[in-house]
Amino acid sequence: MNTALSAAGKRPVQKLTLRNGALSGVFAESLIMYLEMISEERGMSGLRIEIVPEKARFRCICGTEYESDNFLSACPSCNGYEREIVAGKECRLESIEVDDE
Amino acid sequence: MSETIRLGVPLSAKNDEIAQTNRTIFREAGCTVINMISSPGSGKTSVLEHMGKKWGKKLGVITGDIQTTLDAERIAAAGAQAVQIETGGACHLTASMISKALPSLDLAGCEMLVIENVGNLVCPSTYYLGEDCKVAVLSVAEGDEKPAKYPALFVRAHAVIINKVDLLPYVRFDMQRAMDDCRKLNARVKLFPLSCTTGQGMDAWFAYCDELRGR
Repeated sequence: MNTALSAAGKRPVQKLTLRNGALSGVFAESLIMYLEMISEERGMSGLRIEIVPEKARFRCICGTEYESDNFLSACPSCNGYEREIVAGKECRLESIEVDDE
Repeated sequence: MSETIRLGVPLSAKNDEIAQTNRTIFREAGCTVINMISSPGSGKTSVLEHMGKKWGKKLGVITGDIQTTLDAERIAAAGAQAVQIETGGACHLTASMISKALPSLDLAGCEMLVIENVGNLVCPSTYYLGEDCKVAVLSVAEGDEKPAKYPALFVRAHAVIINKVDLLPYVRFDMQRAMDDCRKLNARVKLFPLSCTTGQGMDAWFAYCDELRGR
């Protein structure tokens, strides 16, 4: 919330957009609840919060990049597991929407 | 009219910043750091007792529990340096908790530091503490499906200790399935089936720790 407020400067924040990776360990419903509590405390009631789920993305040594919800699934091209996770481990504050005065 | 400002800031940014400071301190002290994560009762403390008996004060342990100093007492009795963090309810350790515990250790005399996280297969896996590697501990009594059920930990674990193998005749645990799932989640994972009761497999684990310490 502090990051959002300092990026907004004096302009009122209308919306927070977060991107939540499947392996982030963050439970979206709880995060929304806490953000709503904080925003109300700070007089920002009406703040819209959107959490966009992000699938885990793998890059296989065969060169294929693929997304999956099932972390035990093999590479669709070579059927192997020699891969690295290139997305889906983080939950990020992606953007904020502010009133443009 | 409204304007969208792109940020792309991880929610873990504050924790990660403190973890990087921890990492710098570990590097300067020449100390290799393991973040050890498992469910409660998997035998983390027993593994650490074995390590403490072998390395004495060259091993430092920061151990996290919701309450009591029981684990630190066991590890100190085995010969290692031990500091207890009582989280008072928190189900994982954070970089800031580690930072506050560091002055209680003689890091210069420490070749390896193990952070024994709070027993929990979920949250601890996503908090970076400044460690060199994460090690998961799974005991055979917990069931062979745990890697599949808790992927967030097992995709991040550099090594997995499969503990209490002396119980294999008494519990339903498909070792091959557990190992296969660990490798599917992380093809480069090192696996250490061992028993703290019989000492089976302990030498391979010690050899891996020596490798981590660059010895």
